[in-house]
Amino acid sequence: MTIRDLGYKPYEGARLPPSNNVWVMLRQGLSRAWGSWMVKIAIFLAILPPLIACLVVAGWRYFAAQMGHADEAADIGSTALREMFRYETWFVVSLVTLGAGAAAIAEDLTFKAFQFYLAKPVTRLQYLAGRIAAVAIILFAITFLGGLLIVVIATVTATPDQRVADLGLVAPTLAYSIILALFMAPASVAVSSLSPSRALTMSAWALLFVVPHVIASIVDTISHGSFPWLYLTSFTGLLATIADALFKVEGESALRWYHAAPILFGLALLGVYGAHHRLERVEVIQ
Amino acid sequence: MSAPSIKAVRASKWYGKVTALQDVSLHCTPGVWGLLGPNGSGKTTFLRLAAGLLTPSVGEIKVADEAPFANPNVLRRIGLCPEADALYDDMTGLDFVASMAELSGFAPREARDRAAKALTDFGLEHAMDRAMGGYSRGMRQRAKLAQSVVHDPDVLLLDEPLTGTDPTSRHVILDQVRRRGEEGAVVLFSTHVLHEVEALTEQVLLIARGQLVASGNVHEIRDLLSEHPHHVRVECDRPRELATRVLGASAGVSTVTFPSSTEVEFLSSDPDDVYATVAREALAGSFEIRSLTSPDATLEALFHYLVERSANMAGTGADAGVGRAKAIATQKTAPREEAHR
Amino acid sequence: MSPKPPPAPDFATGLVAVTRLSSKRLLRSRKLRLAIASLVLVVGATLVARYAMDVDEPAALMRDAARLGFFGLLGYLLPFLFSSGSIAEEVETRTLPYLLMRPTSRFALALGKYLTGVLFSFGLLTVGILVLHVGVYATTPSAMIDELGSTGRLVGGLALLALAESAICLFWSALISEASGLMSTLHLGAIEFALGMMPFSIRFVSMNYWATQVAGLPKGGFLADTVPDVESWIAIVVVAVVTTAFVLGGMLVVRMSQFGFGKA
Repeated sequence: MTIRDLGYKPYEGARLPPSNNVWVMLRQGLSRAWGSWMVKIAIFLAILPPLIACLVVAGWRYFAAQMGHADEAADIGSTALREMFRYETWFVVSLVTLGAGAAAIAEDLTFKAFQFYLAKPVTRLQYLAGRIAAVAIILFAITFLGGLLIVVIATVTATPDQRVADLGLVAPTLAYSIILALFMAPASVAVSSLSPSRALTMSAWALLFVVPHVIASIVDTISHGSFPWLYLTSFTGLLATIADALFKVEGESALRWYHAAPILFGLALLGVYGAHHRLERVEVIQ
Repeated sequence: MSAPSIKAVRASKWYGKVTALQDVSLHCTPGVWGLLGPNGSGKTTFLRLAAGLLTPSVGEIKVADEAPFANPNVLRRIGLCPEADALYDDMTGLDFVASMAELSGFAPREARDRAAKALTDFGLEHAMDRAMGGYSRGMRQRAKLAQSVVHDPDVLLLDEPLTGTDPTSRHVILDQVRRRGEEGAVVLFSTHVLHEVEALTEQVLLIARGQLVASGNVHEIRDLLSEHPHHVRVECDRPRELATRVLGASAGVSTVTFPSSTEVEFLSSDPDDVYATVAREALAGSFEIRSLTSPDATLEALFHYLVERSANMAGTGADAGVGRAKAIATQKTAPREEAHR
Repeated sequence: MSPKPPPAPDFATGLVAVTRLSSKRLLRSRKLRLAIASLVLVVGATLVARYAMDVDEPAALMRDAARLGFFGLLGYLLPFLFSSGSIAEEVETRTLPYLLMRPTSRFALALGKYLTGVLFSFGLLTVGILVLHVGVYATTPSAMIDELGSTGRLVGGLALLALAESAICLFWSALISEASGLMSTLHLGAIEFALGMMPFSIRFVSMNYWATQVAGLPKGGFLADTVPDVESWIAIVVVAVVTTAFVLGGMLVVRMSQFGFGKA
């Protein structure tokens, strides 16, 4: 048998630019997130609070109009949005970040997947951006679409002079959804870089989600509301403070959005930096 | 206590629509048995059935005359070295193997002594106090083997035990396996590296596509496949003249090749006739015969032949030949009543 | 010399062996460190608040801390950490065959895992509540003695909580090992926590509610006045029956399941 040596022939066809790698990682991250039971159940659960809130808004407005007190139902749209976001943060965002965020990098470490990603011309930053973006997109879609539905129902059921104000709720809804996605996605993915054990990173994220809030509420209760500052250590507390400001909910708490915003921003940056720093240390072949 | 044995009677196992094992009947008596088959052929499924981790979908599997699934009376006699590279990485080798001994019924102190001995037998005496997460692949394999023998099982099931081991580790492991077989245990040793089995035993079970295609002594199985043409290679001083003589005397020769200037190879459906002709010529002093071999007698050749044949015949209903080989081979090892099933 | 396998261990011996193995593994695990960190944070924050804010009613503070920190957080968290992966993680890391191929009864295996979870959860909860008791009443020695009964009731309630929540986590860990964390989270979150705050008799489905009643804590949640009052002994019986049902369920699953060993 003769051997014909064809030699090395480099590929000379078109190549996509390196920035395309982020999109590839994003698409792969989205499909992996969809493979998680937690994310599927979270998306299913995410439908319920907006539907219930829509029913409450429509019902409240209807009965208020029937009783001749339509002006008393003027703020129901923003109140419903605020409450809906509170429930979604606790019961939906927690599950999405647990299933898709807090396991993302740990899974790749467990299954030694970095030898596939990083042996390709994918930088660690591109990999991280793809992972974070996948979680952020799911979080944004869940919260914004739910909020948008409530805004639409509130606008439709509003009195003519209230209609513009209710339509204006799109802006805080959009702002809150973006803030939530941009903060929770990097934070949860950063936690997933802490260990190759998926169970451990998910447990750690669950603890970070719950423990500071409970501690803050203990101290808040003991101090009879005079010391709310520990809520600034809780993701949910920070987001709740921002939501209160966006939807103009008057509270007795001394916490204001300008206390929470820099901390949220700082934590998001710290999350990205920390995760990137951890990834820089990952050896491709383990 | 009944004698150690593994018996399968028309056992099948499927997962949804996937058939992992189909209509397998066999009987393994004390000694070392090689369980051979390509990847995905059903070896691991069979070992898991025998270890009592799975139950057959149809048919039955018995170890020492009892069904093993969740049966402590049988499980106490079984040692399993699983294929997966999975260990409690946070535990030391000694703690792990001692815990396994405790679960087998030994008191903590005795369990620790036994664990130390088992780990020493497999050459891990210097690493037994280290966490297993830091073990090399070969060390992990030996730790898995140590836990499988720590309670002196008389039925030992080893799923690819030599994966990732270096030559020294292989020697240690094969030595231990051979010793257990000689002491009267049934050792079922799965692999797809054929020379490993050849070095250990002549008793083999060949599995392909979930079916047992042959079982018994490797040479006997080879002889049973009479319809398969044999290669006979002769090294002599004048190979072309010898080829002429053999072609004239033996009607079954279909092909003659000359691998080198001093060798001739015949492909014959009646190899005994070729052997007889070559022997006659040698006795007559016509040729200087230097060697007479059959490349087909190696396990590898047999394995490839049976696996290819199984693949070619799958789904055609034309597996009568394989069925015959299996039936005859089984007849030599299984009780008479099962051979007629 | 032919091999002589030992006789199969009896149920108690197997149980002890499983418990020892599980305890050794938990003691080395990071989960234990996470649990201790959570406990220290809750107890520490309460004690700091106690002395920084010069609380007038230490007994009320003790109740608030127990209700929010122990019954509202640690009572879920610790059993979840120690029990929700007890079977599922062995399946995921493919170490379960080492246990199931041993002659130890599968019932003993499941029960041993359960008892280990209970032992660690209850142990930490008890240590935490006792430290809290000593810390909160450190400046009032007479109250420290007088309130021992109340703290004892809290410990009793926490014992029931550890038993029940660990049983729930074990059950899901055995039944749906691929998503045991999710199922345990949903059960603890939706049934134990959310329904435990509901009005009328709805909250009777929550073991956490019964445990808070045994502990002598006030009813919280929505429309608490609508929830019927129940004797403590009834609460104990209810928790015992439900716990037994979940443990037996988990044991039966472990006894009968093949745990997806068919998958490569």
